[in-house]
Amino acid sequence: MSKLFIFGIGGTGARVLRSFGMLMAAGVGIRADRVIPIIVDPDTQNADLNRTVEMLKSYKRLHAVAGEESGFFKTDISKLADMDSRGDGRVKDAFTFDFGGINQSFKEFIHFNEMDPDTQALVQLLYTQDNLNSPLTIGFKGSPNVGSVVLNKLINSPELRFFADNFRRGDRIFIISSIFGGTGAAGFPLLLKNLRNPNSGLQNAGDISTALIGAITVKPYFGLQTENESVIDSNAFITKTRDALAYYKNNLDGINALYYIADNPDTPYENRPGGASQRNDAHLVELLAALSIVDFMEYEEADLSGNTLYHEYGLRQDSPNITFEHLYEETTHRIGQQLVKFMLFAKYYKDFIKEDAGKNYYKALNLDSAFANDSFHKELRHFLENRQWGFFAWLDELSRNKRSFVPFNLSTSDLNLLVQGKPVSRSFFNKGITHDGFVVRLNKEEKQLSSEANPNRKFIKMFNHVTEDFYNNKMPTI
Amino acid sequence: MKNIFRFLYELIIGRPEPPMETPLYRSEIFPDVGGITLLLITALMVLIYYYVLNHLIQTARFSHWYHWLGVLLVNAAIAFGYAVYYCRLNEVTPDSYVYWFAFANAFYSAVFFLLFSLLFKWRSNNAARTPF
Repeated sequence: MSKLFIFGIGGTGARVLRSFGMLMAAGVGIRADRVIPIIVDPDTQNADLNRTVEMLKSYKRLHAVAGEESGFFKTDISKLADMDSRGDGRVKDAFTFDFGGINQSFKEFIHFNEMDPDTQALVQLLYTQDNLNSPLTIGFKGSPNVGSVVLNKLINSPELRFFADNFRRGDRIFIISSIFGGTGAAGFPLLLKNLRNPNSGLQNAGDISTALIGAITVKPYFGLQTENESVIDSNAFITKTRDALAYYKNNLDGINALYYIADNPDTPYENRPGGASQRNDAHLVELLAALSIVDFMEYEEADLSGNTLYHEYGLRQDSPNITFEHLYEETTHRIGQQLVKFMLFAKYYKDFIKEDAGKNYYKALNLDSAFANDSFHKELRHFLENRQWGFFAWLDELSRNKRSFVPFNLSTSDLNLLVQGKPVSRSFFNKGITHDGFVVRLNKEEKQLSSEANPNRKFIKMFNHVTEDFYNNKMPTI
Repeated sequence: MKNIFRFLYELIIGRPEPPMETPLYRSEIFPDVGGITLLLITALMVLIYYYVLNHLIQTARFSHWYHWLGVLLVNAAIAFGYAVYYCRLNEVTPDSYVYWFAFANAFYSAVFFLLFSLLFKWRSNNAARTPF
């Protein structure tokens, strides 16, 4: 049973994992039996991180019901602590790495005041006063030189030791980081160096050091509003990226596949260095970055055993508003069907299903009672409709960001017009995808799935089959 | 079968009147009307509801209980009308008994419609749980 450990470092790591979770919810396939995301970010108040964590927790609860054969939510996404068969609580039961609350400044962290004057002078050469006085509770504020020191703590942490204890030959590792910030830019080479060290002192260090490791390094894709008080200046993103790439060129050894992605920044985000106010809208780049994880798992071991494979992402056609038509077939083949199916399901669940009271499948599954009392349906509604981190919120953010990703018409109530630029063809005898047609197919599926005893699993399977049927027989080719 | 229909009708409306027409009712009208409306037409209506309206035609618009009730009432109206028509065809005395008989036939058609529904509904795609 092969596992995939994903280290999502910093705010970008968390945001990419959010998109990854949405793809998994839609049922995009990944060649791993179990996926274990570990978000590494000392900024525990970061809104982007917390939104991702909430989404992953919800996903996990839904997967527990849906199982691995239901189409949607089929991939097992677990916390590191879920592998703790002894249940002795060695690691926190969370998707995040526990920094134990670094409630101090960088100066205090390195015991600056206890250093002799010569060392203090050297430190002052390497770090600005802002760096030294910066509270670590909100991360490294775009300063990888701070991060590279603080994140050394990672190596001796219970989480990393626990990860190592549970690592088995055949498991893979993927690292998500940005190159232009602080946490990701510092954490990625540091983590890689330690994972590749056979003498790291970690359990299974030999297996880990020879494991297949992939990574995506996200280059600048957004800008920040210029604010005098803020320590983060997005004008320096390119310079920082260039410097980091130069470092990677000479020092980044042992990566099997490295993915790069970037975009020209458009409308700048609000300049929030960290904390609860750092809440950036989901972006197409994060979605495409999440696809690199799926891509990495597609490669056979033999393909990855030679020199590092480098990948960059390109659009088929440049446009400020991206739809499925602007993506290459490889991408649409990988995510198109599942995203369309999941969108049909989500849309129907949100806007139509309550009108089906009295219909055969609705009565068979006792949905009136289930909607009111069953935690599965409360969770599902939460996953789809939560305004902070839910599926529709994610799509909405993608559509309003620049560059925007608008694969769906979010305002229509006509299921035939749901996929942007790909209306379902209709005629006098063929009405396309209708509410009534949905009910007929759901009724049929409900009867065909009579062997499925769990009503909630049956519910997910029914929608998976029905939406697949519509996708294959009604939708134009995407 | 004759005895069953005789029992059912006379249970509600009593012995046929006038007495001279009792044999006609018992030997011809009760079994013919009962056989055609309660068994044949009602079964046909049930089959139409469950397997034409709610199976062959690709729509789930007719699967609510009130659609089922509508078909039941249409069936009852047919049963009522056919009973009156058959009595006239057999030139029985046109008194109130004819209408009581038609009413009883409509009532039994509803009962049979319910029974046939319970028997046939399970394999219907869209109405397997209609009326309940």
